[in-house]
Amino acid sequence: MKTRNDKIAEAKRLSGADGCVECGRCVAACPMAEMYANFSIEMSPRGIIKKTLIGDPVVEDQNIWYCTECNAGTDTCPQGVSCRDLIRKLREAAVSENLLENAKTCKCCGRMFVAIPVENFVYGRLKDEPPNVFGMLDICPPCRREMYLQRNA
Amino acid sequence: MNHFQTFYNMKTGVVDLSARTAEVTPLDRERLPTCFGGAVVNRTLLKEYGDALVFGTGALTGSFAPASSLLVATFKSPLFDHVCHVPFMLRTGPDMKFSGLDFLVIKGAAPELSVLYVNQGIVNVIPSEHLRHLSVSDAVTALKRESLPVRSAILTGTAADRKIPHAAASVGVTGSLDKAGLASRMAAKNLKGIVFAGMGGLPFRKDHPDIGKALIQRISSGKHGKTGGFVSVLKGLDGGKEASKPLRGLTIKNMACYHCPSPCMSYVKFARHEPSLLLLDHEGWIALSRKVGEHVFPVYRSCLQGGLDPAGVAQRMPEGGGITEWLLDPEKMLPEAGKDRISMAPPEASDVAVKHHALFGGGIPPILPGDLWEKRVGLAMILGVCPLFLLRFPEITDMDLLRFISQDEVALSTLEENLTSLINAVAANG
Amino acid sequence: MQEPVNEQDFSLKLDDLRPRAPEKKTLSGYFMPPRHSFILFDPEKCTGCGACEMICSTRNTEKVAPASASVKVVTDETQGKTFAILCQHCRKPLCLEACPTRAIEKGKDGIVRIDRLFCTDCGLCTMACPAAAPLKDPKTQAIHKCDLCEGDPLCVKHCPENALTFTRGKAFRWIKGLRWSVQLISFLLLVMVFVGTFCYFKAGEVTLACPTGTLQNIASSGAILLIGGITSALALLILTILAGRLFCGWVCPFGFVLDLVDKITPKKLGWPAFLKSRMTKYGVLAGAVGGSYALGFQAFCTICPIGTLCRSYGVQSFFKSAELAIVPALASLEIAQRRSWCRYFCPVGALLGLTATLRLIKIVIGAKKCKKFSCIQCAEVCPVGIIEADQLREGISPKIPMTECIMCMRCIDRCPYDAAKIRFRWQQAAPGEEKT
Repeated sequence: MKTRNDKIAEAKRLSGADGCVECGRCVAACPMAEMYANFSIEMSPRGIIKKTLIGDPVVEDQNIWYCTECNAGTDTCPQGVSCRDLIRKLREAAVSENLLENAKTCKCCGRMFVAIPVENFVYGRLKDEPPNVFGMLDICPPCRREMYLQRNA
Repeated sequence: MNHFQTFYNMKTGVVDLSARTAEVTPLDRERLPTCFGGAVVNRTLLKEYGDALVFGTGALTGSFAPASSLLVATFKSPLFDHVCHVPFMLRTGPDMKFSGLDFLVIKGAAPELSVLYVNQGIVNVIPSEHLRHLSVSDAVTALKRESLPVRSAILTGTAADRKIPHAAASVGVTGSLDKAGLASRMAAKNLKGIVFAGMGGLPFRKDHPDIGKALIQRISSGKHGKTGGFVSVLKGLDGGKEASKPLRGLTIKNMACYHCPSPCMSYVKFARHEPSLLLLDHEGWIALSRKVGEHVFPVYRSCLQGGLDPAGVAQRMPEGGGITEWLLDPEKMLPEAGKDRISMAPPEASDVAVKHHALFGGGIPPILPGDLWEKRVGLAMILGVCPLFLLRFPEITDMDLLRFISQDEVALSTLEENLTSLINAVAANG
Repeated sequence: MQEPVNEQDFSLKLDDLRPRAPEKKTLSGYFMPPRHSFILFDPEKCTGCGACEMICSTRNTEKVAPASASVKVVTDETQGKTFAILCQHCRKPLCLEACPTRAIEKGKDGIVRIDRLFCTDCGLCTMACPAAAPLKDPKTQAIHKCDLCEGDPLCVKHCPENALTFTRGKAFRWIKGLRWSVQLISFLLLVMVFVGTFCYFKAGEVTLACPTGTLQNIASSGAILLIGGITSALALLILTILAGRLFCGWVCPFGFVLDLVDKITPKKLGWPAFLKSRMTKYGVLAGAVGGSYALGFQAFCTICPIGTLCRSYGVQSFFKSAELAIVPALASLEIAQRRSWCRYFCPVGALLGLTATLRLIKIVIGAKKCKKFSCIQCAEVCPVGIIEADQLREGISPKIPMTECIMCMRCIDRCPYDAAKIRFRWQQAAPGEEKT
């Protein structure tokens, strides 16, 4: 059984988080700045990496659930630090400890497929659409493709 | 100039199940122009590694050649008592290449029931005791639940777990042309299945899509036209017209394998509430419908579920009735002395024809006569193209296929010579 | 320890850097909406060979890698179905709304493109798309979405079964031209050439009369005339039984006026909900008949806009100037909603609607052929608003009430996918569903 610290250590190792020089290029590339009105250092990739490195509680932190896992930060990082891998591992750790409030599960297959703050952003952008479009947002993309097949073939 | 490099990942996976290790060795590129790939290289690997199961692709597998779907399984068949090359189509061949390997050698036996997972050129041996005694479809569902990307899987069913000799490997839930008992060999190695992630790609020459398209158009306008589907192929076989009667009006959709322009499989539905069946085993269907008549649908379905060869089942099925009892208890299929060998060749075939038929797994239907059949199947098994496709469309010559490898006339003639001698060698002794 | 810096204070927002251009409405675009080319997929022909995935992936990567294509073939093994999922280039793309960096734009050629300069591969477009059509490359994690190969799609060329076709839909929207011509001709004939003809037309032995007028006549005079009475009204009623309320959509001169007014009032103000009952017109019909009985003359006919129009031209018209005011007054209802008069108030339409319950034909929209959320042109173009867009989005063939439908056939004309069709009333299967 891995302890939380083991998981965080593995997350740091996998993402190469120790190499972070706090240059902020990941924040510049991060789409979260466009998505959230309350975008702050707390949820930015640089912020989360820093928090993990200094040992602050991060697994139960709400802020790790804002990321879309796009990997733009990793692409621009001069040190090759993968913010996505770090956040993925931290989320996995949170899920394994049953901290599931921010993980949305698919109505069809039950798999967790998106973080709730990310989904709320999409809801917000599509707010002028009729309700049955929203119903579709509760289903993960693979199940949505199956549904599309059933309706069209 | 070695043209073959672009067609392969240049990797062979060697798995030792007893030690639970897997290593990847590079393919010997120097030998490729003389051995091409497919059944020939499989045979060489089998000689080198001894008692093993070898899976291999051909040079053209995964490319824009028509019907380039072939995966060849080479192993010593427990039923035929000699080395067989069994073809697997659908997407298995391309998906192995897209998973990073061209050839896979499996030796030893795992201490617990395992599944091989191939992804990005790495083979993982995954202990999967929870898959024991699962039917083929249940195993597929269980695999889907893991969060691993999966494009193709070769699985065994409950028949293999129970050591029934006519156990057949199945591609997903659709069965296969394995009549040589690959599943029994897999079960003896404690191997439930081989799964390919299929997430990668292969390089190609710029003119390949156009060459492929020209060949496909030639077929459409040729005398064989666009006839396709399971029933149409069935009707061309001995006993096929009779066997196609229960299928009248039940075909929902014709299905084709990877990049194949003329489907020879079909989804059929014989009752509203029943799920549809994908039929691809023409020989098996004929043998089964001859034996059990109107019960062919539930028996075929139970063969698919349990991972059994329908032709073998037809041989073992008691005459006149007893089908429901048999369906409930296939243990009645345990080996009997003298009844292990099966032969699906047509009655008027010579011993040589029977031998060649069995050499290629016993499942490829005799669409062409005699030695023409051996040449076409041999060609298919070496280049990695579907053998049924080459049998149904003899207007696609070996030169047409070789043009994918090289357009240079001098190189082509050498390649053709090599290929012809290889085909003869394979046809002669496998 | 420094004060945590709010990243937001210093950064420029996307709205500053890339303001979204306002939608340009052109005159030609208003009268002739653009018909863009699209890829039409026929699931009946598909054999699941995956050639489309192969060739598409050669455009996205330098290799043959079906997992990296912009099209995905999904299979339902229990029902024996396959479908190729690819971007439909919706008229109102949801992915465009959801993209946080505004990397997605719909071009003038109708193609919805992802600008790779701005795309961060976040995958929110996939999250927003009802078909989840943008696909994530398993190796590079990039998002691949169909861009119609900039007008020359490869998948269409390489499908061995011709299940994929590149088309603009129907060649010519002929119904529109025909209908406007018929409307113009009938307006000229009924209003200018033959005065008062819609109400009552006599040529030798043959008489034709408005059925509502005939009813009012019977109620007011108490005499049921067979010849010149009911039989003359029958002509229009028989037409309605055969072809629904074709009169309303193609012949009625007031309907023509309403359609013209509609063209110059694009912005609709809408009715309050309590006024929007389709039953009101039956009430008006009952009132007209009852009023005629009570008052002894054809009550409604005096204020009927159709009659007014028909009688307005020429020397014989009575109260010409005052009566004429009825037409613009009732036509101005058009500002609230298209064909408001026809939907809620017209008693002639009400009587024809009642007759249409005996109709021979109906309009159906086959949900299987319909492209649903990516199109919905039929619901937008229907002047009486009887096509349920919500049902179409769910994939259900909507039941179109033929008592309300004015048979203008704008939906049939507009649908590029051959999903909206006329069927006989006894035909159960919608287009695309015939085989089941």
